[in-house]
Amino acid sequence: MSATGVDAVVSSEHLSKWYGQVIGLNDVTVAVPSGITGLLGPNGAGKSTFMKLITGQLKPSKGGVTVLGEPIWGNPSAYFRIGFCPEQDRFYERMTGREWVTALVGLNGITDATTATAYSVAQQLVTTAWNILLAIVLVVWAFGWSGGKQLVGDSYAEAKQKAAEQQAARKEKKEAKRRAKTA
Amino acid sequence: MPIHDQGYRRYGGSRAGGRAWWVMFTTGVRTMLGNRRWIVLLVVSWIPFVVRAVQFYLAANFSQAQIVAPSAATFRDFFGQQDLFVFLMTITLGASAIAQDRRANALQIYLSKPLTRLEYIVGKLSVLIAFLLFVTWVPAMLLLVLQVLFAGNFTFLKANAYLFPAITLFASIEVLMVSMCMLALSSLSTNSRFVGILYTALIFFSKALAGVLFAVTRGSSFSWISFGNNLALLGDVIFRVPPQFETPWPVSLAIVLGLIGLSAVILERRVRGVEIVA
Repeated sequence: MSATGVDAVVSSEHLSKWYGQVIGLNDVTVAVPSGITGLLGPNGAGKSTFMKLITGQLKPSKGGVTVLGEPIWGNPSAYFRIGFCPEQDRFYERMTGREWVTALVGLNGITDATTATAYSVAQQLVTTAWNILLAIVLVVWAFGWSGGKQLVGDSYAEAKQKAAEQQAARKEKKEAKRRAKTA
Repeated sequence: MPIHDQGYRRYGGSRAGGRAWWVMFTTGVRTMLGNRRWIVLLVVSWIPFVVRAVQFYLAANFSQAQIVAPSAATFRDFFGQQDLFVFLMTITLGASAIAQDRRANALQIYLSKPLTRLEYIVGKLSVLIAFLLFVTWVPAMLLLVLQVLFAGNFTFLKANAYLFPAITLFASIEVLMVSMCMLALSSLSTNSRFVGILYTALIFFSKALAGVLFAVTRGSSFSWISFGNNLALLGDVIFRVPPQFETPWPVSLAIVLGLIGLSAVILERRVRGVEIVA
């Protein structure tokens, strides 16, 4: 990874953050390319501080950070292009999941009409998936126990026979051990 | 297309910018309107309006009822009656406004969206202000309109033309002060019950202290200590009725503006996505 990659998604130059006397992050110069990147480190390494800095939640004490080529601190318009899922997020008791998601995408500038359309498509997908799952469960329930052999062919019967053989072998082994002990 | 082929797709549609506070506002209003207890409170808060409307009708249509004919003081009294509902609604809605977001760690989620801290505060404030205006400014204005309709002439309105701006000004000051104070308190804690109790304690403690000083000094020059008394005094001045307290009104105005300013400073310091403990 180059330190100042031109096509870097996230790029920081001598990035440092102090919490009073405590150092949160010290002189980090990094360029994160597109794709999936994991951030690993021991406790106190500054992973969370780095995440908060690159999502514009914290102001760098020293150095700078850019996301998609734009400075992120104090630049809410850049947030249109990023998504952030912070830790410890809990759910409101007074809102449904749909209301919460609708509000969040609304904050991203997506209109209620677009959200409603997307919701109906998602709902249709979920309903279809649910119906397919239900159909599978019903078919297995109908044929799996009363006539599994007809439904899944020999493999089911073979597996059943193999399991019975293994059980018999285990039983025989146990019996042999018992006999040896007695002798 | 099979379901398993529909992976993540980046949104390519249009986006509307600068409406973040409106999203906060509409979401807040919708959530509250889905609460039955809140609807009951809203309906009950309009009972004084109905009573006043009947009073206006009687005064306009029956000469025997002239004793209850409306005046500027009637509108001032109406605001006094609505104080209880303003208090209840502020506690119910305002106490949880930011405290609940802090409890659910939602501030970080909100502020990682294209939303400034100012837009967040304005969004939260607008919900509270809208509902409080709904129980103060809206019924007072409707009463003024009803008076004209019942009387069938503009005599009262011509004689008291200042009532339109007076109602608007007093409702704005009252609603802005209580909303800002409550939001500031709400930003100080993650427990909305604690915020509600703190607000109640501040209101009643300051009132009690002003009462004690009144008993000791035999005068109401210390009435400015009570938040409610300052508003009441400003109300008297705005509606041109004899003031209840000896405190000069500019002092009360300065305290009200100071409270709004202090609340703004608290909100500026407390509404942050990441809490920094140095």
